[in-house]
Amino acid sequence: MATEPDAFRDRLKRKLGLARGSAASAASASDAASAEEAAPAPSDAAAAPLAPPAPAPPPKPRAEAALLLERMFERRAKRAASAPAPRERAPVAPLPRGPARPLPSDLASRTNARGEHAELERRFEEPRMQEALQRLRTHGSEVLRLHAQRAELPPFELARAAFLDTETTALHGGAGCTVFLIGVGLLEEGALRVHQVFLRSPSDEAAALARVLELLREVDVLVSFHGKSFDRHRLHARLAMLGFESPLLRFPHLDLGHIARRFYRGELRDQRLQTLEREVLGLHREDDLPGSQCPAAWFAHVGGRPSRIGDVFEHNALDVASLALLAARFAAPPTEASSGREWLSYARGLRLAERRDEARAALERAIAKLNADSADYLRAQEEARRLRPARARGSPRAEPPA
Amino acid sequence: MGVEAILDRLRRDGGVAGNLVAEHVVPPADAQLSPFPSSLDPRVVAAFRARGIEQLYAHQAEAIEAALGGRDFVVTTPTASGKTLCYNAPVLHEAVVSKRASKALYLFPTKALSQDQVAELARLIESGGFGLHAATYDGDTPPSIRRTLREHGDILVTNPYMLHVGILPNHPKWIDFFRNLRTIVLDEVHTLAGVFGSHVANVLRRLLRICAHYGARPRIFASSASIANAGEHLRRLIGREVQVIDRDGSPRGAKHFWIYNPPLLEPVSGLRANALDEARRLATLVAGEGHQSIFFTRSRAMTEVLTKYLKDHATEQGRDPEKIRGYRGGYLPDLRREIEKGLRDGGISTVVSTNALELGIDIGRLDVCVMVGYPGSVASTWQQAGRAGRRGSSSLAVLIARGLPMDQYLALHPSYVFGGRGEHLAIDPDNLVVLASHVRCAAFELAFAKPAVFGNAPPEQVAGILDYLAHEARVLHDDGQRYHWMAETYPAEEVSLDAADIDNVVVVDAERKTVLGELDRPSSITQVHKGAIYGHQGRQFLVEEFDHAGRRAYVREVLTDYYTEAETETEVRVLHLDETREHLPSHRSHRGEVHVVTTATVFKKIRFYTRENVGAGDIDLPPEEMETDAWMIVLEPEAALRLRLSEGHRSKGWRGLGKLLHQVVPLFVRCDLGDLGWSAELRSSHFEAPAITLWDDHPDGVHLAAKAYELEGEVLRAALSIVRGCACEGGCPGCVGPRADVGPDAKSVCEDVLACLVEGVWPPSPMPFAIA
Ligand SMILES: [Zn+2]
Repeated sequence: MATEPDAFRDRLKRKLGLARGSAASAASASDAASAEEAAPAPSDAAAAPLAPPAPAPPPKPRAEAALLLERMFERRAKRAASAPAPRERAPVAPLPRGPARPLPSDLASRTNARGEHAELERRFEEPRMQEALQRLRTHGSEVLRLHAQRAELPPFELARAAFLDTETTALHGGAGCTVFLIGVGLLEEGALRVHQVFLRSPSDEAAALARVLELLREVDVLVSFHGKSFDRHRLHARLAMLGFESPLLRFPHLDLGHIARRFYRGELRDQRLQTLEREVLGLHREDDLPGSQCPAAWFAHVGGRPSRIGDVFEHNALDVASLALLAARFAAPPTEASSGREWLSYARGLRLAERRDEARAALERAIAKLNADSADYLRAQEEARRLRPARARGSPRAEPPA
Repeated sequence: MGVEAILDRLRRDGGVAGNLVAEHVVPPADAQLSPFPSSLDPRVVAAFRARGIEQLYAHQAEAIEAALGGRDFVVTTPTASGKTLCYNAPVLHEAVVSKRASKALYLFPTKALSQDQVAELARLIESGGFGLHAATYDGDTPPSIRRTLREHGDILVTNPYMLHVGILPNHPKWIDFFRNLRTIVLDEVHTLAGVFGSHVANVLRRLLRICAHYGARPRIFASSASIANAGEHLRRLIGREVQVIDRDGSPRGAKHFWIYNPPLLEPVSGLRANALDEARRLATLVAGEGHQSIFFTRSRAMTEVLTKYLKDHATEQGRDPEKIRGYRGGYLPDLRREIEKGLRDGGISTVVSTNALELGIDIGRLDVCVMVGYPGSVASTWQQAGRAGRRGSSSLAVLIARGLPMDQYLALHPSYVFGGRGEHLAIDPDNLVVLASHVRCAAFELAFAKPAVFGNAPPEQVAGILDYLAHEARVLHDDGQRYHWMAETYPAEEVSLDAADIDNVVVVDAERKTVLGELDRPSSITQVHKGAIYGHQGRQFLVEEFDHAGRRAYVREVLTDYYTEAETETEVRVLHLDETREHLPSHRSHRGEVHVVTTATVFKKIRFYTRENVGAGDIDLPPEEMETDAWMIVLEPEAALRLRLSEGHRSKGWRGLGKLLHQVVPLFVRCDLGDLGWSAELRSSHFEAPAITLWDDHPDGVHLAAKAYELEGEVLRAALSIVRGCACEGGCPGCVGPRADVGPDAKSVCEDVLACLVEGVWPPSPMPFAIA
């Protein structure tokens, strides 16, 4: 480490030497002379050699630009930290706690036309996942689409859906935000197969992105958790920057985060994926590396320092698996045990699909279950108004003048 | 009323004529016309013809030919000489000829200018039937239409801040735009001076780098007010040689430029009548309804006071006070648009403005311009005076001198303004702090391949910064071939181009529950403290509450007979010294960090018209604070004694040296005067000796004072040569400052001190009897 700053300091000393030397002083003198022309009585004294010279300045041990830069960036950081949080920004992740865990041993290096990257494949086939896959097979995508309430989402086969979750270096996006681990989950017979495409260093990026496009080739729909506003844009930006034709924004997208918010808003502490895992699916992660610490783990890994990069793979794979479990949870039609909100969401989806009779029936269940002073109750009332037959709705435009 | 009649009236008015101390007449000039260049697409020519433009001025034709010949240019002709046509014509030509495959990006220093520009482009596009899309893209653009603009905009108008923090860091969203970007237009490049200009130069390096990544090499067309070094300024700003077009072909009526010195009230003390009162008096002679006048003041508060005076006067005379309006930064955009329109269509006869109207906002040409006080630079003076001047008829510009040394100097030496060619603009894009900030932003935007190139910045310096960022700050990963961004932060957000783009305070009308205006945080402590009178369009609002932390001031309209003026105190405290050079026995020089605290202390209530002091109050607000770098020169007590600095007038001369160094340092570190603060204390509390402190007037410093410290020998030698070479008697703005400010002995004091510091000329012991 010692050599680099020293080299820089040397360069800088050269620069400072230059600044005191002939080239810079000639420029300065001509500047001074030209500026004087604006003064009432120009003088050529500044350009003339001046005698006698000032004593040479003593050698300066501490004016290194590296120190200057260090001071400057430190001050900035200090000021940013003490500022009254002007807008939401990514928190600076502390060093990850826990023991360093290296890359998974079965991580394979792969080569394609764009170069090299690494990939890990995992199959989730425990009973819990089997049960979920069974449920998805039984119900298909119909109820999910109703809950999604998006007209642009076509009917699709779950076998042609990709469950997508990415790990990125920042939350804010922008050109400097790298997607370094992309988890793509595909349903196959009796298991969820998760492909984890990984950048061992930034130079793996093109090959990794090419691989992701290959994985998505047979896919019709993306399923994510808030990926509609986040993951897909990050991936799209990286693809675009590297000159790929990006399909990411064209894919129909089922965002489970939107459904979860509708179901659990205000009921759970928050609607993060891991909270839902715990509270809705009843799962518990051991030793999970919080998502906020994943970037730091990757930075350390790339920098050749000990890191918990192995835990990032675990975290990402579990996120993808949770997507499948959560989709299965939302895929069945509501039952007697379902909440008023689920019924309300279902009813609205039915109305948007122009299945008005079923919608009315579902809405009755919703209204019966909802608390009369809740905001959802008002929403249900509004829904009821929309479901009234057009003539009875009392719209002045719909009625002929009396 | 015609200007000739006004001139006549002024000359015959006994109370005024004697105060007109200097007159300068810029003779009228006929238009030099040229046909449209034959290479310009006929559809574009037709669009201009449809807008009533049959022929071009010579400079417009020159610019179009340069552009169509593939050259970059800067046009520096005066205000309202048709500069925008110079770049609109080739930009439209490109878009039309390429069938909408050529995009253009316009960079304007303010949002107000952008609005104007888009309106003009829309009219041209309309009359040409080009089906092009021109729009502003800035902080006010609704998020819902941003994507459409990025994908379908042909000409986008934005500002340096938006480009820096919004567009460049998100360039993947702009790929199609950058790929097809053919032209960058930089308007009013004379505003890109000093540290701000150095920042913008680096933003442009980033922009061109992104363009190159997507395979584009846009040409650059620039416009500027008249400055002494336009070509050099552009070379520093964009790193290219450009064609300088400065031959004005537009027709001009004669311009009468007068300097008016208010009458002496007390000949002994030299007290003169108040400039604002004189402006009010002059207004009765030069402002009226048959023609249009503009009054420039030096502050927002004075703009409001004068607006009230002129409205009051109109009301007394039975004229419509609504034809008189105030204009300043901080008004909401809608109100500003309304006033600009009123000026263009003649609905407003008189406007009182801060320098906000100095830039090229389209208000048409007016007849009379009155400047209440010297605008601070020769270039600004001519910009403001340029607001008056219709084609084919005479115009009048009057500069009213205030009782300040600089203004009084001009009254005595009018050639300083009349003969001036405008200032030299200085920027230093390679300033280490500025450069490093933007290399960091650029590394976020795109990996740097080795060997790293960043515009025309010294490669060695860029490499050094990247190595620092990779190996010490660890925000980059150096894989041997490239430097990749490796951090969670968004660096552009941490780099402020200047202080004006952050932390605005909103002024709320508590009664009507509406936002009245806004102002920047540093001036809020003197403008909207509790008890202040906030002027708005000549009406008075009392500040009832100022939520300093929440950046909101709550005001209520009141009828008062007074306005308020706050006083501030600036204190500079040395935090630590990082480096010291001893030049004994004369002085020591230090580089270090200082804490600059500006506190608003008290405010006075001042009665309108009579300016009686009718009350006062304390201001209880947190101070504006800043830590920054400084260079300090401290005289040894013995040297101070020998130089007789404590004797009478000579003590004021020490201040002259501070003033002189403040003027000289920018020549060496290439910044604006406003980028540096300074103080000259005869007895510094920190050093217990005479000290001059120069500091970077930017939070955390931008390596100006520190560089001046490095160049101390040269700076001091240059200062000495200026003092010795200046032909003035006892001081002028070109050397130590006007005598009225620094006393009659300043020049000799400065020469003595500098000779001692630079040449080691040791003055004889002044008081032999004291030694004996
Ligand atoms: Zn002088």
